[in-house]
Amino acid sequence: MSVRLLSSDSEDFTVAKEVAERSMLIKNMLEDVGDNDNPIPLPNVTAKILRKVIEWCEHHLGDPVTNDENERRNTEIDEWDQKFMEVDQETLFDIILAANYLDIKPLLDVGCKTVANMIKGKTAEEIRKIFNIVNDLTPEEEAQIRKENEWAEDR
Amino acid sequence: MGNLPTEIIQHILSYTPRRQVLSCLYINRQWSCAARTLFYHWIDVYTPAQMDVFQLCLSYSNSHGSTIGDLVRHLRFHTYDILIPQDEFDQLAIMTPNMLTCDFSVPVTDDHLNIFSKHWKHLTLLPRWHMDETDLWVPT
Repeated sequence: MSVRLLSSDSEDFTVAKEVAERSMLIKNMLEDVGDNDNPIPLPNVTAKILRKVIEWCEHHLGDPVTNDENERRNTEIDEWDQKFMEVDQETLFDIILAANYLDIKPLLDVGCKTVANMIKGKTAEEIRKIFNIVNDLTPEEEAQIRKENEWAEDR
Repeated sequence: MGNLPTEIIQHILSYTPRRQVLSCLYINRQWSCAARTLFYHWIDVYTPAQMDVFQLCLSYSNSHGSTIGDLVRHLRFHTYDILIPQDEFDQLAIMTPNMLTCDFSVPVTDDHLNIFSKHWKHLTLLPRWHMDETDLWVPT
């Protein structure tokens, strides 16, 4: 059985039901509406990103679903996922946002772990550079942060 | 990066070591907020000196309208040596009103138990649990 998904830019995707159901959002929607042919609109996901997400879901179709928080946390990113996440920053963030919206926890985990690896060992200044973040903290606020975290700094 | 919600930044930071979370306090306001929520959720105290400074930091924060104490959910002492008088302990409890567990990872004596505070309304675990778990942590 297959399901139709409609991206925000109105591209129609037809995917196997079990692939679409990797998304808890879609799974719940399907349970609510029952069998019908209407495409499910996904107003927060563009075709470009939806294609990536479907590719990921198809590849990971056979994965056992683990609810064990620790197991999910401690698993390293596998080789296929590493390749899959070799995209520009904007796409990476869009995949994370889509995974969050569609409620695909394992994909959200992989995305967040990928960003975590990008910032590991970096200073605040370096991280700002990587992601083009503007520092909106005033010198006073910075001083306050430094002071209230003193107990943690000297260890 | 401006478009990632704070909860996702928190999720990302949860995959980095605590040291890293600490340095993320200085990136910008949004990251700072995500980092401190995560960082203060769980506090480990290893020495009496550190406990002293921690309490000073709590009062400082409290008097500067920033209240990191509200974020603390779990506190764990890793040493026998921390002796806090009841009034200071109550002070600590007042500044960390959302505490869920305060844990001595070492066997506690009845003396220690006495310092528990009536100000913690949400505690879900009492240190008495460790009375018969002497092998949990041994000070070196």
